[in-house]
Amino acid sequence: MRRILPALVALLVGLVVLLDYFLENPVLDALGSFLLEGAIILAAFALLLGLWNLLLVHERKVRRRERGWPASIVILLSTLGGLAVGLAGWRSGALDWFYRYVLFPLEASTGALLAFVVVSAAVRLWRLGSLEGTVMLVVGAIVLAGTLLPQGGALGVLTPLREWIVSVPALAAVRGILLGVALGIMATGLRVLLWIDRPYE
Amino acid sequence: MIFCQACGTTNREGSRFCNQCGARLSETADIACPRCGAPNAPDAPHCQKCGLDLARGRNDVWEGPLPRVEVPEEGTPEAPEQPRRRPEGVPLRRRPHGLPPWLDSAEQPEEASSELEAGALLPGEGELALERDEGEWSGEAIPIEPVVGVPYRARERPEQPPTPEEQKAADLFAAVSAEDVFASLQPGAEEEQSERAGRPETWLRVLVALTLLVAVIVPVLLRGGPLSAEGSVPAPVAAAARAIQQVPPGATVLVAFEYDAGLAGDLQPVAEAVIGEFLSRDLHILTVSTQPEGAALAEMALERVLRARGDAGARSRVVNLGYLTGGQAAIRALAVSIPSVIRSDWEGRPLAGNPAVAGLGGAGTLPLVVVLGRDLLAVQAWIEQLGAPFNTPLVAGVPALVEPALVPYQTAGRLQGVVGGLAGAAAFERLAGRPGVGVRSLAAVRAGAWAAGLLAITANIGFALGRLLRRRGP
Repeated sequence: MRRILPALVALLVGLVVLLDYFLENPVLDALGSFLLEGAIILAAFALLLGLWNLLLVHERKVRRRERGWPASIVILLSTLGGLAVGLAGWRSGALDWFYRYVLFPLEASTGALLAFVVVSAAVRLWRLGSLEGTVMLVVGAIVLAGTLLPQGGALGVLTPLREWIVSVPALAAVRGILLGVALGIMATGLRVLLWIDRPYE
Repeated sequence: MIFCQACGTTNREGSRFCNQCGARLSETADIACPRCGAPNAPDAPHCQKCGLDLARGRNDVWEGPLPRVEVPEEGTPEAPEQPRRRPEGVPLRRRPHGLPPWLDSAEQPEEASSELEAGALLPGEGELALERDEGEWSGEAIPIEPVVGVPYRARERPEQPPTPEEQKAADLFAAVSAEDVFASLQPGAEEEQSERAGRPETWLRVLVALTLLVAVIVPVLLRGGPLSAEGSVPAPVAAAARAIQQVPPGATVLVAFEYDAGLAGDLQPVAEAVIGEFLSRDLHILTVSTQPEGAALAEMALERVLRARGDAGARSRVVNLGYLTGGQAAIRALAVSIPSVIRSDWEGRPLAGNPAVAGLGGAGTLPLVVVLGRDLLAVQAWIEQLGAPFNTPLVAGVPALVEPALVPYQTAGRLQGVVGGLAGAAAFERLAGRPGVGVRSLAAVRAGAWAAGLLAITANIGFALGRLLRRRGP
């Protein structure tokens, strides 16, 4: 029963939401909306559960002096500090200050490294002499130049070239990926609905 | 890496004896899974029986010795697997609240801790044994960190050798990872560098510093100038502008902030350009986010636009609905009915009575929804849960990197238009006749791109000339 009940619940919920997606029916609509709102509430609880688990895991690491425990102290302090600021300063704007002057600059700095990482990876590939790496570097340079450089004189050719790259070879590749992903999602959904996969066990 | 089966130390490939204990190593010998004890190949990424991530063990995450496993000779009957039992003397932990054990695993029995320290148990081993004995938890959640559920099918699939294509890709990735891009900057790293005796490092660093300086100063001095020269408006941006113009005045539109601060540099200009256009057309604006930081970013964008317009009355036409948990389920529920999902705004004020949401049903009935997404998945979620089933017109704002991935959706009619990154924001602002942060930021980025290009060209010419002169020298 312990195996069958979760499977039955998953099967029924999946079918109801799926049918609600395809069919116009007031009963199914109401049931689908109820389940979706339930999912939202469950997700909120899962968030709290995740926070609780994070605190426990890192508290244990600190207590046992496991490898990397100083980093766990930082995580605990920042988590609890953020929580305290959020709860105490909800109306005072302290949370807003925390977001603007602590979290955003940190994340923006990390995000700014993305361009460097991409360029670094392209150069590494190119230095290895691989054909893929050379193609990637050249195409990346054309797309970047076609996007960023003022389009005048001889540079005017870059924009149509960029448009062609984006709308023909890149589009073909993206379509292939999207079709593959869609088929994979369908297969996974069917496997769960048909009780072949049971990720909830 | 090769695991020592005696002490668990990781040793380099090709090692014959353990660095730590001196035991003989065998590259072909099986290693024991720290969780279930099943034998695995030394380089296996996951345990073939329980799916445990053995690669983590090779990175020294597992501390303590690995248990020895007697691998039966071929042809000899395998001994029946002994069920794992709770160690004697270790009391069963009670879970009065009915929570899974990894939630209260912080309360370890002292006996288990002492056994752990003595090396008799692996980290988490005692807990797993207890959990299996209690029979309420499958033991698939690894109580170390983070809690990971092993995919169901992964337990049954035998390990597959990589295909030639996979092996080639893996080799290429390993080679790329090992490549040192800045090796040429390290004095004495190669023979060629030693000839130059550190001089290139100095002038190259000065050149890089000067380039960065120019990239920062030029846009400030020129205030845009030639760097802000107008280019052609990309077709997706023009289509987005047309879709916005078709919204009747006084209607309500929704803007979804589905990105975090890491991409704010690329997407805040898009958000501000779109919101500014909505306000100038007397539209009511709702903002929402299924990303925790999106609500704060929306508030920042709204504040900046309202301050720039100097129109305090416009605030009453804008409602920040805040953060909504639930991912795709939340989007779908929002599409069906906004009031049943969200009852107060970001600051806790009730939505009832707010003119911006008066008489609103679901987001699916809105004349336009703008999704500012950090990646393809974020936009896909809105297309699948709102755009496609409700035929709601969607416009996407994404980083420039993501723009090509959205072209199929635009050609299929699922997206009315796409504003891609800073260049898209600048083009949109020009179309709207209100140059703003997009145009200014694009000038700075263009200056950086020019400077970087010039740096690359100069450095390569210098390098080529240097080699030429050395070859012709005595």
